Amino acid sequence: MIDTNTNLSNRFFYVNQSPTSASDSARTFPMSRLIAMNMIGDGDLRMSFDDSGAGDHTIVQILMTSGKGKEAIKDIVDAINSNQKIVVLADEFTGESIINDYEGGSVTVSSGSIGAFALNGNLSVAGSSTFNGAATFNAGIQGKRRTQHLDQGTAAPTVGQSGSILVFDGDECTVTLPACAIGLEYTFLFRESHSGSDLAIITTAPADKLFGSLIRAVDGLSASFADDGTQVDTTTGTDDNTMTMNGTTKGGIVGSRIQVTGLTANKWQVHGELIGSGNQITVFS
Amino acid sequence: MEKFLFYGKSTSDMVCIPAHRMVEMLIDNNSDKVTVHHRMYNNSTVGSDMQYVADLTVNINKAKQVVDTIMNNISTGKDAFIVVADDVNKQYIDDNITAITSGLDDIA
Repeated sequence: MIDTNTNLSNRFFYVNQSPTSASDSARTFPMSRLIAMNMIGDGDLRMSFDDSGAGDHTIVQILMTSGKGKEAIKDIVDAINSNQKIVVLADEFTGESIINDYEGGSVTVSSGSIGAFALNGNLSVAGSSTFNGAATFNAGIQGKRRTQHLDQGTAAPTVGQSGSILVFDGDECTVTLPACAIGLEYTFLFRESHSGSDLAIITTAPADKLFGSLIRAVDGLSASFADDGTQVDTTTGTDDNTMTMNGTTKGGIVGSRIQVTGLTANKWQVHGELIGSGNQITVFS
Repeated sequence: MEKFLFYGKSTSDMVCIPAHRMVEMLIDNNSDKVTVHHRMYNNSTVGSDMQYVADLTVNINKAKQVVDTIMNNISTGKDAFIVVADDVNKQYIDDNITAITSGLDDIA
């Protein structure tokens, strides 16, 4: 263990990687932050220091006389155990070094990837997680999607809820989508049939419009397109920014499904299957 | 005194680690190898892979003696620079160490 008489936090290593300046690009490390010294080639010394990144380190590379790695490392150990407050590991500008076999060669400081963190084992998170940057899952992804029950008079899914499933429970509810942006996506499922004044309404922000088609169908096998059979309900976005489902002529029976996906600013793509009854009329307005 | 553990496989493959970073020494079930674990960054990794290993090949049934020698040098030895194993110069902290078993990982 560290001898309590040795305080390495108030003593420092100094390294200057600039051949043209006495101080440009110079770095200083407390001796206590030294992790290891490593010869990875003849004359190629690497020193690893803790840095401010999470689980990260900075490498100082010093090129020196080939085959003198052990002697160089011992020079540094001796310096650590001396009384020197500041130890010059290598200074390209002056050629100074505590390492006897340093020949004034190249010095390079490579900071670690800031904030990069690699986990080689499994990760289990009990609480919720937020990813503010892009996330990549190279081995696929599995698990339940988040759901939100639409059992209140209004609902306003957020950007952060993109990708989740919103479930109409048969209660009256007007859902207002957030301002459209590419990549946003919401899936609406009807787990109960709507009826009477308990409408299911999906509407957009004022400047946004709906583009796309919904397959409209009624109970049973439909062999042909008909008002009371199968139809395709299409909107090209000129005026439409609202879908209203009533459980009969405008669909909204249990089993119905609508998906909206952001195409670009002000343009939602919509598709899905709506089950209704009687002569079907458009849901778009 | 800040003590350091030195391992040298060749002139281009050596590492020196502060002794306080050594976390355990393992003896294999044939008692002919000592694995020294250190808590530090390993090759090309960041984050959780903090295990740096040096395997020492030792004479059969002498592993415990090797471990004792290393412990004694860290606890009461007078040298800050502790050469645990140096294959280049055939210098070992204990005569029962015959070699560093395999190449040492680069720290990158």
